[in-house]
Amino acid sequence: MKILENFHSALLVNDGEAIFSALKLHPRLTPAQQFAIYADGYRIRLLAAVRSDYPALLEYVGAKNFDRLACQYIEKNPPTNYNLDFYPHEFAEFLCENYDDIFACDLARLEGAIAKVFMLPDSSPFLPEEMAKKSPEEFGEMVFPLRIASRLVRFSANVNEFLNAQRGDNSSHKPQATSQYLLIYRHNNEVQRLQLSEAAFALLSQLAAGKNVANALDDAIAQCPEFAEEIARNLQSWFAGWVGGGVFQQN
Amino acid sequence: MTGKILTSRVVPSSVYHVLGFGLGLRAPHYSEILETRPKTIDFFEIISENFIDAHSGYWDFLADLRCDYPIIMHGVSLNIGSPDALNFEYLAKLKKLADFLDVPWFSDHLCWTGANAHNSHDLLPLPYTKEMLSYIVERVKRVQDFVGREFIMENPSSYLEFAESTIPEYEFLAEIAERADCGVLLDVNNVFVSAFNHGFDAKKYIDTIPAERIAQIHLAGHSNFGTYIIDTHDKNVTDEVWKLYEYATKIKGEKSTMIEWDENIPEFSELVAELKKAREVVA
Repeated sequence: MKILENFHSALLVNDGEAIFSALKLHPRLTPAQQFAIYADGYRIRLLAAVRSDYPALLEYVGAKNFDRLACQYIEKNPPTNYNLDFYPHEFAEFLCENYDDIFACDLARLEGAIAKVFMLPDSSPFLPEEMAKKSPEEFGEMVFPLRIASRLVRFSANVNEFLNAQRGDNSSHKPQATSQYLLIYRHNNEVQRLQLSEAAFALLSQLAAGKNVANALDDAIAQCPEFAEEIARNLQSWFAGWVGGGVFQQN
Repeated sequence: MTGKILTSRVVPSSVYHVLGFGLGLRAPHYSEILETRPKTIDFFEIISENFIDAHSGYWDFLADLRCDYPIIMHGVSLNIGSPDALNFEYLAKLKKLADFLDVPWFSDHLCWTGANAHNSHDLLPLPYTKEMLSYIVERVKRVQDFVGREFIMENPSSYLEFAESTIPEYEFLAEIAERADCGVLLDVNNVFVSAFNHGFDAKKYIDTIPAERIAQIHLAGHSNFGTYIIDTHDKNVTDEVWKLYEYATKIKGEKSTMIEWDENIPEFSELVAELKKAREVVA
C-alpha cells in the first residue's frame, strides 16, 4: 500500500523521481515517460473540467491567463470528491484571491454559482395554488425558504449581460462597473438567473435567512429605509412572480 | 454511512443474460435517442457518476429510456484498490440508482483512483501481488453485498507496471472473479492496449478469463503513439481490436457488447454503424 501512497504523492507534485525505482523496466519507455502519461493526464483532465464550467471567464481573460490560473488552482487544490463535476466549484474563489480584476472575479463568481446550483439537490417548489389558500393575516407569519438549489449573489459589474452576450443573445456588452443583484436558482431542471433590484435582493436575503415575511420586511427596511417605498409598491407583484417562478421551496 | 453489510445479493453468480449490442449513453445524443428510440440498440450503458448526483431531470430521462432499454451502470470512482476505506456514501448513491434502474449488473475497474482522501480522476495501475489480491477480493465482496447486485470488474489499460507485481494481470483478474464471486467486464481494447504497452500475449489474456465470468465486453478506439498506446475512446475501433474481439467471442461465446466513445463524440449514426460492425463480427 505504501507504493500507492507514494505514487499518488508523486502525482500531486508532478515529480515521479521517488517512485521510479518501484516501476518495472520498460523496453521502450523510461520511468519518467511512463509516469508522465499519468501526471500529464491528471492535469489535462482537471484543466478541462475547470474550463468547461467557466467558458465566459475563459473568453474574457483569454486562454493563456485562464490556463495559468487554472493550473495554479490544480496544483494547490487536489480533488477530494469522487465526482469530477464538483472540482471546479471553488475555482471562482481562488481566482478572486489571485487575479486582480474585479470583472473577472465577478464573472467567475457568476459561472461558479451557476455550476453549483446545477449540482445542488432537488427541492419541491412552493406553488401558487398553495399561496392562494393563505389569508392576508397568515401571510406575515409565513416563511419562504429559497429552493435548495439557489444562490443570492451581489456583483459589482454587469456580468449577467456579459454572460448573456457570450451565450449568444446577439447583443454586445462591454464590461462596466455597476451594482448587480441576482438570484441564481434551479427550477424545472434549468438554472435561472433572476435579476433583482437592491431592495428585492435585501428582502429575499432576509427570507433566505429563515425569517417570516413580517420580520424580513422589517429587517430589510431597517437595513436601508429607502427600500420602504419600493417594497410597499412592489411587494404583491414580487411575491406573485417569485412564487410563480418557483423561487421558494415547500416548507 | 458505515461499512455494515445491509443487503444480500439478489442475482445468482455466473448468470449473465446476453443483452445484445449496446452503446454508451452520452449527452450529445440524449435528444436524438429519446426522439427516435432506435431499435438497432439493445441496451445503453451509463457512466454512473454522471447521474448519481444529478438533479431529478436526469433521473426522469433515465426512467423514460428505461421503458425501452435495459440500462447498465459503469463506474469510474469505486477506487477498489486504494489504501483508503471504501466510500459508503458513494456506494449508497450507486445502490440508489441501481435500484431505480433495476440494472442487471454494475461495473467498475481493476484499479485505484486516489489515496489519502485525494482523487486523481484516473484509473491508476495496481501492483499485482498476493496481498493486493486478497485485499481486493474482500472489498469486492463488501461492495457486492452492500449494493445487492452483481458486480463486474473491468480490466484496465495501463502505461506502467510495478516491479513488485508477481502475478500477471489476467491471472489476477480471473482469481478475483473466482474468489469474490463477481463477473468480468472484458474490455478488448484495453487488453490490446496493455498487451502492446507491456508486451504480453493478448490472446493468452483472453484465454485465461473464464468464459462464464465474462458478463460484458467493451470496445473502443485508442491512440497509438509509436512506443505506447493510450486508451483514448476518441475514434473508431481499430482492425486489430476487431480481430481480437472476433477471437474473444469465438472462444468465449457471445457476450453483451458495447462501444465506448467519450471524446470527439461523433454523430449518433456513426456509433450505430460501429455497433453494426460488432454484430457482423459475431454473426
